[in-house]
Amino acid sequence: MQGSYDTPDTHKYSVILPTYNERKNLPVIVWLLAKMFEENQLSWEVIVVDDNSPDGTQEIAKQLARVYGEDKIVLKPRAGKLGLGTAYIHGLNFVTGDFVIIMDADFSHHPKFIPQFIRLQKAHNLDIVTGTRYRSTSKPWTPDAQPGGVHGWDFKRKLVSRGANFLADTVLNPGVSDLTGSFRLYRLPVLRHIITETVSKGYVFQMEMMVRARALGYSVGEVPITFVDRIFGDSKLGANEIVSSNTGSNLDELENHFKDIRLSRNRSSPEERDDSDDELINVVSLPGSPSRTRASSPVRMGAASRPVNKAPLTLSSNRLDPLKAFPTELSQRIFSELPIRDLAKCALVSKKWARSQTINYVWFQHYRKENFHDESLPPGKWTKRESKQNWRQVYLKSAKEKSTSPISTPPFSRSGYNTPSRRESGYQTPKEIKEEQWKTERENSARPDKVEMREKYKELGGRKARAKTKLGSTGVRDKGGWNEGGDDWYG
Amino acid sequence: MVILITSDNVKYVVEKDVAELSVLVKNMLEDIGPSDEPIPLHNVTSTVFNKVLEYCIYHRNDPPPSDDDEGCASPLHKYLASHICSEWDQRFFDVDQALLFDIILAANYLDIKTLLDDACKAVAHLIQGKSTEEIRGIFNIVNDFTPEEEARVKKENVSS
Repeated sequence: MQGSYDTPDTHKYSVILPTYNERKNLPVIVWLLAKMFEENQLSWEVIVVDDNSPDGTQEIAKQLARVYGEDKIVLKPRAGKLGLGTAYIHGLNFVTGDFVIIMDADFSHHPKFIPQFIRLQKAHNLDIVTGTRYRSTSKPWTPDAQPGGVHGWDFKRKLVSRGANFLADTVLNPGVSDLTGSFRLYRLPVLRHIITETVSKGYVFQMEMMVRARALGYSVGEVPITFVDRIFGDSKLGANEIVSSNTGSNLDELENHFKDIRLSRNRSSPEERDDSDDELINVVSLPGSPSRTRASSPVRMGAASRPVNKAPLTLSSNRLDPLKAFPTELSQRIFSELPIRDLAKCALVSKKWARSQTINYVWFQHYRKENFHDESLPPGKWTKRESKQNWRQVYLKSAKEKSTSPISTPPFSRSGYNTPSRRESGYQTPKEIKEEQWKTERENSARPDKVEMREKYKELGGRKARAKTKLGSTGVRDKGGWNEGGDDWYG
Repeated sequence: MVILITSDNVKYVVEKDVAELSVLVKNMLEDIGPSDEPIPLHNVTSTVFNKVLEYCIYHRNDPPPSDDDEGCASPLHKYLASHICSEWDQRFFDVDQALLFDIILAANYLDIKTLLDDACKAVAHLIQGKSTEEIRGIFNIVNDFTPEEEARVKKENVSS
């Protein structure tokens, strides 16, 4: 029997893992947990509370139970998606350990921090130890804690999370810096007690638990953790590498399940990557922003259910074309290295290059840099509307005007960027000038206006117009070009 | 020492500081802890890895890239930087284009920022100062414009 060592630590640690569509993450998180517990010679179990995931998470859990032992991996499914709070209550019914660890199964929480939780708990005989993203030292202080932090969150999300924490802290004064986190170690009776008192659900549930813990007089310690927003699916942890390198244990059975993981990873390899003419332009999010790893909701269950890239649509004929050989963000990098003169020449190379949204995006950035001389401005949002513009034309036109216009553009204050129109004062911001210019351009162009389009739709009699592209919530698979027809945009 | 295995099963024994120029490897080492197990690099062949390793060994003592130069470097700055590439780097990137592209993909996968930057610059360099016809030649692209279309784009560019 693994794990039952006769060591000074006679406690047993039960991890409650609520899952929903974590088929890919579960084997890896369990492997990491098992490795961590075994290395620290702790007695452990993982209670998987699965809300009837359609992706077969339960099957995986059963297989894991066969590998690690059914006393180690305990599957306690529920009939449907019943929420996080009740998942803990449900899991608690089956806990055999005297300490309970709650964490997310989607790699937001790395098991490597658990030994620190346990050490802190032991050192101060605490009732609860919580992971905090907002402290750089543990509380009470211990020497082995590393600074905490949030990786892969954009500023807004940090702000919202911080804001929620600040509000709760001010109003409720629980004395805990990270209330919304959900990586915690509880003494079993303490968790049982608090959870029966707690009434809220979802995101607030974690906060209420902490506030109640304080109100009930339990001692709470904090360990700084780095919070990685869904490692899996992107760099950092590299789930399959970890597993593959673990040749020492008897994980052969598991290997099958990791094939999935490998496949999803290898999809980004040159051999299998989608290299059709289509370019996947990530609408709204920007290169360098952590969009690729953003979790779907505060309660990060079901993070693994997000759609994966489709299989190749066409086979590549030309691996030497940078637009075809590389993922969009790499092509962007290359083209953004080019001086304007050379970039302009690229439009002449081929129709694909002329219509490329990747290059269009590079023009868009150049245009923004030229026209808002503030480098500290956040890069502009690249939405569907922007993608319909030919930014090469816009850029070149504006550059031309600049060189011919005798009036120098007025100094442009940063705050002017978002302020309402100042036309009444006879003063136009460059943005307004541009907008007017685009408006006339649009009017002059041969494109049908709104009313005409409406008529056209009517004629189509309910069928979708060809010009109507699908807009996904996270990205648009763009067939290239800001004007559907494609071939008449320069008219 | 770190043992790395490429996708074609070639084993490399690499000094830790060199291997850790790859953020992917570095994080992996952090996560699995001290171990003699080889680390598989699924997306990199030995041909490409030889070059990557050559780069990492040469640049092992470079100061790490700062995060804040991303995005705020002006085009001019970038343009100049692309010209201040060292002689060694120029020779290093003087390889056939397929290999250069593979190096970019490997650098991206292994998460070696400086190599990725430099290699992207090297590709940009291939395009710089070339005629359209030359660019088509370099990247093996067929000119699918009709003469009228081509003339129109040309006019747009010239009128600037």
